[in-house]
This record gives sequence, structure tokens and C-alpha cells, in this order.
Amino acid sequence: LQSRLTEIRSLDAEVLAVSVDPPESSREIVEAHGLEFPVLSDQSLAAIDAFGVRHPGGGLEGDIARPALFILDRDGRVVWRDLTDDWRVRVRPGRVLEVLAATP
Amino acid sequence: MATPVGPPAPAPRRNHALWIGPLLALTGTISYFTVFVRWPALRDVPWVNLPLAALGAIVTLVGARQAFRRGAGRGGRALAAVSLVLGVLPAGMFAAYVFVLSSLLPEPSAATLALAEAPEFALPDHRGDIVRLSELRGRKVVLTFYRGHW
Repeated sequence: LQSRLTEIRSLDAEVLAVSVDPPESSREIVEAHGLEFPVLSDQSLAAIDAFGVRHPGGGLEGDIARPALFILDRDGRVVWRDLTDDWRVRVRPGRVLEVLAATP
Repeated sequence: MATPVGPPAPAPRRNHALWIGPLLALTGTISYFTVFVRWPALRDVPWVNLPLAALGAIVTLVGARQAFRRGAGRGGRALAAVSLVLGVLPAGMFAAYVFVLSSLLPEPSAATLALAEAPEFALPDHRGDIVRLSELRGRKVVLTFYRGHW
């Protein structure tokens, strides 16, 4: 997503990433990959549960988020979602741009 | 004083498969994670890495078979055993990762699939600043959950 961030923002969208990692780990990821969008920490899994994307026992130290991507419209409605069944296989950024372009 | 000249001892043929095989298997496996994951087409289906790892395993097996058949000495057999471990194990683990492990995900919950309104949340970002989803009302949002490094 970082590679297409300029195009995503030109469609008036922002990117947010969420995981169970503490902010220090998020910062390492941000710095290692040069990310320019917020990487959020949900250590209590509150948001992860609100979206129903908890993966029980998925991590070495307990529950984590399953990979998932939601596209929200300007009113916070979910207009598109992808819940991959293989964590190696993720949505292509091109698909995200198509959906954003089709979202008013 | 001439040294007796006998028939030259048959030079032990070097069994290159015993190092080429593990090299291919390890390269195929490691380069998936360090290099090839960057290209979605080669990440989703490891067109480069799986064949490379498989080839490495096969070359290793052929080399080890030769070593044992030729009645290699104790050293040769030990070398072949090490080669087998280094050549077949990574290829097997990589195949297990690609075909089994990475799809060990729970079924998407019905609630998630039916979710219409994005629930509000307030979470700290990588600088420790709290980000509320509702702050982005008026703009579109790409919200991605990821496994993290736990």
C-alpha cells in the first residue's frame, strides 16, 4: 500500500494499519519500510474484536489479528472487505485503488 | 630408486550434487522471504522459489543415493547425511509453509462479513499519538489489519 500511497491519497483516502504489536514495534516497522501512514497498536484487541478479525492462538504469544482489509466510505460505512484465507496472499494495491475510485 | 609405478588409484569422483542440492534448496527457501515476497505475483504463488527448492531437494537426493550406492566411506556417508538434512529439510518446510501453514486462518466471522458500519476505535500510533477512526470521517479509509511480529 505504501507503494501506491500517493494515488490512494489523491482519491481522498487515508491508510491505517492495525496489529497487536506495541507502538515500539510499529515504529520499527515504520522506519524499516519507510511507511508514511499511521501504524496503530491494538494490544488489547479491542478494535480487532470490534471488526471480528481475532485469530485465536495465531501468534507465538497468543491471539493476533488475521490479515484483513476494509475500505470505508466518507461516512464510515464498510464498502469493501477482503479476508484472505492465506496470509501470504494479500489484496493487490491496484484492486484497492479500483474500489476507492468507485466509492463516491 | 624409482618409485614403483602402479596403476593410478581411481580418483574419487567428487559428488557435487551433495553441495549443489542443499545450496539450491536453501537459496530457494531463504530468498522467498528476503527477496521474492516483494513481488505479489511471486509471493502469492512462489513460481521461482518452490521449483528452486524442489530442484535442490531432488539434486540432494540423487547425490545422497550415489554416495550410499558407491559404498562411500564413513566420512562420505556422514557428508551425505548432512547434505540430506540441509537439502531436503528446508525444501520440505518451505512446501509445508506455502501449502499448509500460511492458510491456517480461522473462517471469517459472520459478523465481520455483515459489518456495515465501521466500529469506532481509538488506538496509539507508532509515535504514541492516539488516532480515532472517526477523525477520518469525510475521507475514505483503507483499514488494514495485519499479523504483526507479535
